[in-house]
Amino acid sequence: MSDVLFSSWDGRVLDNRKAAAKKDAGAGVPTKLNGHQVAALIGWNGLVVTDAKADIPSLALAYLREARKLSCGECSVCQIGIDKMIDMMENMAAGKGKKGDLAEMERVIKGVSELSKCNFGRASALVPILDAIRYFGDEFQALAAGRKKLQKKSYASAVTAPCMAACPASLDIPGYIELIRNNKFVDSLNLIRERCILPGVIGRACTHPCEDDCVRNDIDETLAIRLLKRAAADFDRDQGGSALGASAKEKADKVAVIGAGPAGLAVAYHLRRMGYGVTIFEALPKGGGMATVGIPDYRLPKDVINHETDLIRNMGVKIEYNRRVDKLDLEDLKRQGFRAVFLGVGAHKGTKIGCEGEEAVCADFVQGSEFLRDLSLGKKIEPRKKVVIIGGGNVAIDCARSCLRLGFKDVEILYRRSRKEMPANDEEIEHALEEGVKIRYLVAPVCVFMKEGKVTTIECRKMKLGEPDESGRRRPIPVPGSEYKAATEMVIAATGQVPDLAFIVDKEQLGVTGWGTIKADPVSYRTQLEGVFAGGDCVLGPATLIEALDAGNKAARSIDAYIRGKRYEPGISFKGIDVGKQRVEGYVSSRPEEKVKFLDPAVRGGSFAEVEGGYGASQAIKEAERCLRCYRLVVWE
Amino acid sequence: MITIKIDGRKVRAKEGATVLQAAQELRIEIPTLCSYKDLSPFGACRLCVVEVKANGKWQLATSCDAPVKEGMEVRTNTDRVKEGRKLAAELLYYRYPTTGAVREIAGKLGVDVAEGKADDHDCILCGLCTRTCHEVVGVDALTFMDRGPGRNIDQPKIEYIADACIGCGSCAFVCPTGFVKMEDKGHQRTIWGKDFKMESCGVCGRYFAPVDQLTWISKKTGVPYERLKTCTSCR
Repeated sequence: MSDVLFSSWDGRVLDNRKAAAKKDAGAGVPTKLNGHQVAALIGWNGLVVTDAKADIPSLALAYLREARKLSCGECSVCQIGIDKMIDMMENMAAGKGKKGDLAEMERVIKGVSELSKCNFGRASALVPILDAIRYFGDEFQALAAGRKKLQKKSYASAVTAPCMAACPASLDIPGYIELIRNNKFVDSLNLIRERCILPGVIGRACTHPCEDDCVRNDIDETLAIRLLKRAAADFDRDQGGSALGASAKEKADKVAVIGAGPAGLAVAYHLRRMGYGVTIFEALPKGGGMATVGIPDYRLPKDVINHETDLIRNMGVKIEYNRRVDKLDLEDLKRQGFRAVFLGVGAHKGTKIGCEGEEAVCADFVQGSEFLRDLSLGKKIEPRKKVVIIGGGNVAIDCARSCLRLGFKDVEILYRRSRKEMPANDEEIEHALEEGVKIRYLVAPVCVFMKEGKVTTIECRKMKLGEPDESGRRRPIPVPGSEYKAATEMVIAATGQVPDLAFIVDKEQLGVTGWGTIKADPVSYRTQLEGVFAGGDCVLGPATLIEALDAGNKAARSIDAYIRGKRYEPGISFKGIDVGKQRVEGYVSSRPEEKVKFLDPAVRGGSFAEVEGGYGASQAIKEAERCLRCYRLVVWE
Repeated sequence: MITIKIDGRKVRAKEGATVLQAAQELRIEIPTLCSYKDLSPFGACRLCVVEVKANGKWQLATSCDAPVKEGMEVRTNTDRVKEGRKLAAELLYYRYPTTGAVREIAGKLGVDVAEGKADDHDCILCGLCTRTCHEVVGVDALTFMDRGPGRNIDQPKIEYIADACIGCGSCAFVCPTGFVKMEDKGHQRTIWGKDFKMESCGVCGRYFAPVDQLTWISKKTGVPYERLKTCTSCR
């Protein structure tokens, strides 16, 4: 049995109001938000009613008022259209409605959807009001005739967009792009910083899932969302670099953060802004975590992350470098006055690749994460003639491209599946190939041979693809008798990392998963231990920088609620609702993405200079003009 | 050159041209309040809509920012186009009922314009001034106020950044409604409420440009200020 009385979601009309047997609304119809049942909801893609007492004209007016705040006024029809609707409804409610008002509203709504410049005006601003008028016309008529009063209710509202929903940290992407379009780079940066405290880093090294979901993909190409973020960050740094917002009134409570990676920095920044005293304990001599010791300079120059870490320090966050926590002593931290602890230690320990010879301690057979860390901390690495890198992720690619730059002559990646299954970013793979990295697919190592402490040979076996495994990718199966040997002077194993949790004495008490990661609640970031929170790679396993930032953003709010003894209220989740769909598409002229320059592959060897160029201000503004501003609004009770 | 079809006529258009430009070449009149030949299109007023055939369907599209494409089919004079333009004009008139320029174009497009006050000069947010300031002048003294989640601005407007303005008056020149007011009183020009000292021509003595503007041009081009002190008539 369905609890839906009426739904026009996605344009599929289901009317159970007079039906004897109630039909089911099916999946994807938002009847619940964050687990709470909604009585009535109006959103960009329709109207959903579950409670017969819901006042639809009142809900529609609340929607119009929220829509008015989102309408930019850059084109005249959307905003004036909304104003006209509000005026007409207020007139109706005041008993001054006119005959033909509803037909007039319908005409304006259709016209505005056809004429608006952006997707907010086209698909969100007024489209669902049409459903309200069409299917709940009696209520509007009753209002106009003075037979009904508007209910005085407070409605909740939330905003998303396809790009925002795809972003792990839900950045207000159309918002910061709009600010760039209006030549307000510093305002744009400050908006970005609300959910992304490392904008220059993320503007270079993000895996940008937002771009995969950009509505523009269906027309020409995605917006260069990542590069626009970088443009805002670079613009500000070129002007001398603005300070981060001042902190609220100083609070007496202190919080300890273990690890100055993206998660730890985000937690520290937000808690500091709320007025807490924050101390970060960092094992390495530098901040940034994997952004610093996992991503080579040619993708992310150190001065970018140093600048952004310094800004966080300058607002009063204490960062104690070279302070490895060997043993987590909560009692001691409590004695020092820390009310809560956030664990953001990352996943820096390489995993075994499962081949013979792995146990030997040898400078020529190293872990990928260790290799990149040594490199970034300035350790001298002698180039050899040949290196074999095992793995298909971004770490493997980063190791390979770094080796070429160090002067290795022959750099080869072995991956046990095919290109299609390779987890590394396509653009990274392309760059590696362009620079001369060789990739051998469907090959796995069997044994690494050493002589007098030096690697001499690697034995490999060919693979073929079988049925998909639990990850959905086709499983590699060894081909019997396909073994071969190849000479090499170095092997780098880059097949994955796990957190190094040696500092946790009682793992059972804290809670550790079978994957070797810390157990933490995915919403509140609480661990099993009172006052201890955790987030980022040490909880998720090796994930992305932006996911770590998201964990930090939310954990800060959760820690604040914990210290103040309040309930933590997470933001509205649009999970399970297709935010990509819009009922009115309209005509959009194609306009290709603004391109940036890349360093000539011929001069990349021997140098760790940044490969990808950025936008200048004018080019960034041009790219920002391509944004279709696909804000999606929902209002509900 | 590429070939497109406008109102059934096959025409050749320059690559990179907009549908509006191609139509204007054919002397087809298309109404607009926000486009100007030297500025990039902005699509603010929505008055220039035409029908474009896309995926086999006729769709409304603003002609000012639609680039021509080989084989494109356009209709500029159908009922749907007229209805669209009329609604866009109607909404402008709804918001700015006493602004002369709006009343005039609304009347032309079939909107019932009531008798009454017609001498106001409201800003209709067409963006001509912001684009001129950014694209032609290059000083960015004018910009749109932004909107979005949590930024609850009641009425968007053009922001004037006095420090950046050089008083050149280009914005007043392109403004379609007379909202941007500029007053020259010999040695002084007033625009956006800011006073600018004027420079007099070294030859004829006439006040011809703000000192700030000449300083800016000198800085930008490297031409010494003294050499810029001659007005265009005397040069």
